[in-house]
Amino acid sequence: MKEVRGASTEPPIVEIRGVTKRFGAGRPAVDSVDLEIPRGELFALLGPSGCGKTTLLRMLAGFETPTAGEIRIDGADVAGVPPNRRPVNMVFQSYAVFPHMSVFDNVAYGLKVTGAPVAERRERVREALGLVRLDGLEARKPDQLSGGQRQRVALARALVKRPRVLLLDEPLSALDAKLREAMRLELVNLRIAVGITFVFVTHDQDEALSMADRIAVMEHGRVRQVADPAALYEYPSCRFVADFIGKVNLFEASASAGRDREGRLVLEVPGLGALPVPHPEPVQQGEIGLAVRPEKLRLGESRPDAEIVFEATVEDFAYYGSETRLFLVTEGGVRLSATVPNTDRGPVRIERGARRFVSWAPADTLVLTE
Amino acid sequence: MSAAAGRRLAPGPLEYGRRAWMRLTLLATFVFLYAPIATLIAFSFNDSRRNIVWRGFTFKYYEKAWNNDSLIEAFVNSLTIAFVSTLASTVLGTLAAVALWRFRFPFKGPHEAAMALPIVIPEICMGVAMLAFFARIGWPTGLPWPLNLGAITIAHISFSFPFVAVVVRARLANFNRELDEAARDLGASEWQAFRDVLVPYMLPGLVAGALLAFTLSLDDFVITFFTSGPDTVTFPVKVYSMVRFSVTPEVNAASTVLIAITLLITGIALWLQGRSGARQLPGKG
Ligand SMILES: Nc1ncnc2c1ncn2[C@@H]1O[C@H](COP(=O)(O)OP(=O)(O)OP(=O)(O)O)[C@@H](O)[C@H]1O
Ligand SMILES: [Mg+2]
Repeated sequence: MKEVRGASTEPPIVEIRGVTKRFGAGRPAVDSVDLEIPRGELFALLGPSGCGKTTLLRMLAGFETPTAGEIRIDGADVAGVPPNRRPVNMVFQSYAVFPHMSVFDNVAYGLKVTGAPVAERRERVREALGLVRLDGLEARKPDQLSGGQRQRVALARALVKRPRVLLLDEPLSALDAKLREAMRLELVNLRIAVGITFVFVTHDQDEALSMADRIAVMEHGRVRQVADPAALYEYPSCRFVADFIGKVNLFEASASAGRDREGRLVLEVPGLGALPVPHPEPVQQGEIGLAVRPEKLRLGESRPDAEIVFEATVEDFAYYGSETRLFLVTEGGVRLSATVPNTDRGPVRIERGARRFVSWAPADTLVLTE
Repeated sequence: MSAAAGRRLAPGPLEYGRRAWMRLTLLATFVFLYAPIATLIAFSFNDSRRNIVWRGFTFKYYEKAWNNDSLIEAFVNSLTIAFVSTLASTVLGTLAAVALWRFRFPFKGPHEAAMALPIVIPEICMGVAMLAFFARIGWPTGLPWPLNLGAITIAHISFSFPFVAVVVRARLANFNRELDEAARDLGASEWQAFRDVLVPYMLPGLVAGALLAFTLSLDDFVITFFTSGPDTVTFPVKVYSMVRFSVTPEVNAASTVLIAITLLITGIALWLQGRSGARQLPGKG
């Protein structure tokens, strides 16, 4: 796990305490959220569509007022502070680049409107455009820019204000796949270069995992788990997070069998039988989620010497270049998916109907009590 | 293939321009629309008092119109009213459109409908209503120029500002609110964001609305007729009174000048629009 950043002496730059936002009757868009974001972190809000990510971000920016709860930015309560007086800036999902202004005027707008002297303006705009590598395009109008360039304008326009927190709403969703990949790295590097706290919203788990220092996973307005990417992936706290982040084989099990001699929990999974898992914490009786990631499954043509092993038939497979995904069905009729890295060059040596032994280590099993 | 190349291909489904009946309809439409105007302009140069047969080219009637003091006075009145009412109705209409677009308030739907009412109410009813209204409140008459044009101007504003509001509102419907929020986020006050982001965006709508207001005011007859007095004759009212005696080339000449002015202003507006609204789609409804 990563070391805790920003030492304990420094207060978090963003504190969100019990924040709820209701739009009329029904389920709140954001439901009693508590978050602390340390200075200098690249923090991701991740969740499916409609889970309240944008609403939370807009409350930080000042475009929505929380129904209940408190937001502190750099130690100060921002309730009642209008967006133009908050030490945060936002990169909008649509980029919202002013269409009637040149690139220079767009980036300079935030300085002009607050009355910065012309010379300072020019210097800072030049610097910001350099940061996002848009030098030389000052005179262009937005409609003469590509989508990626427009996004850089939006970034530069926010960065030129030197905010304490930069908010980004799905910053990469409007870009094509290749550019998105490149911009991920660029955003991370940019964050390091400017040293500003970034809070970004995304519904793309790959994006969150590859970019963020820490991720808050949201569902129906609530934060389900906050953790760094590896912890989130390897130790999800609930079925929702396990299922939402990455791919997973998820089973419903019962803990009726108790513990074995080594003190491991024995879970009964219909069709798979009793599976031992190391899980020292006590568990409630009843339904327990049991999950294992597809890449943790090992496949062999002969029976391996393993505790958890099943014989299965390959139902289907899909080739993804770097890996192959297999869809298997065990003798007990349970479906499993496995991914196998394509480490060797050459044709895929698998066919439908082939029989394989599937095994995994008890330690790779996730126990999900929620 | 070689056989087909020799013959002319049958017109495709969208090639209306190649169908004979379509061309004919088009021609007929243009003739009906523009022949009267063309005749009007042509006969303004006709060297004849009776304006029926062509007797030769002359500028005489332009000179005559220019020297007709009451005609010029009516003309100046009309332009003054048009300018003032355009200005006022553009501002009012824009504010109304922005208010309806921006805010949520009780009875917003009825408000919007009531505002558009002057567009659908028959002009004659508006005229009578205006006459009754100004009489009822005892609007002063006999004021010095240009104050005596007040009643007409107010009447013009009241029927032309809904047109501006409708046009501007249509344009605002496509506005990306994130632009306004971006400006606020970057430190602009509400007023600064309005001035720097919303107004430039609305500009094509403003120009179109203003143009509409101007032409509506300039050629309005019915409502003006009811609100004008003997000392506040506008151009259309004056022309009407002249025509009642006879259609002279003088009337033609004055009308031609009016057409020229309208075209000129439209041209200027379009040019301005093309320059400022650079490649933005005009949001006309
Ligand atoms: N202004 C509003 N008025 C009423 N309901 C709203 C408003 N804004 C958001 N909501 C509702 O709040 C919920 C959360 O919306 P939000 O935009 O925060 O979702 P999101 O997580 O950003 O989703 P997406 O990934 O689709 O952008 C949704 O159910 C949405 O319908
Ligand atoms: Mg969103």
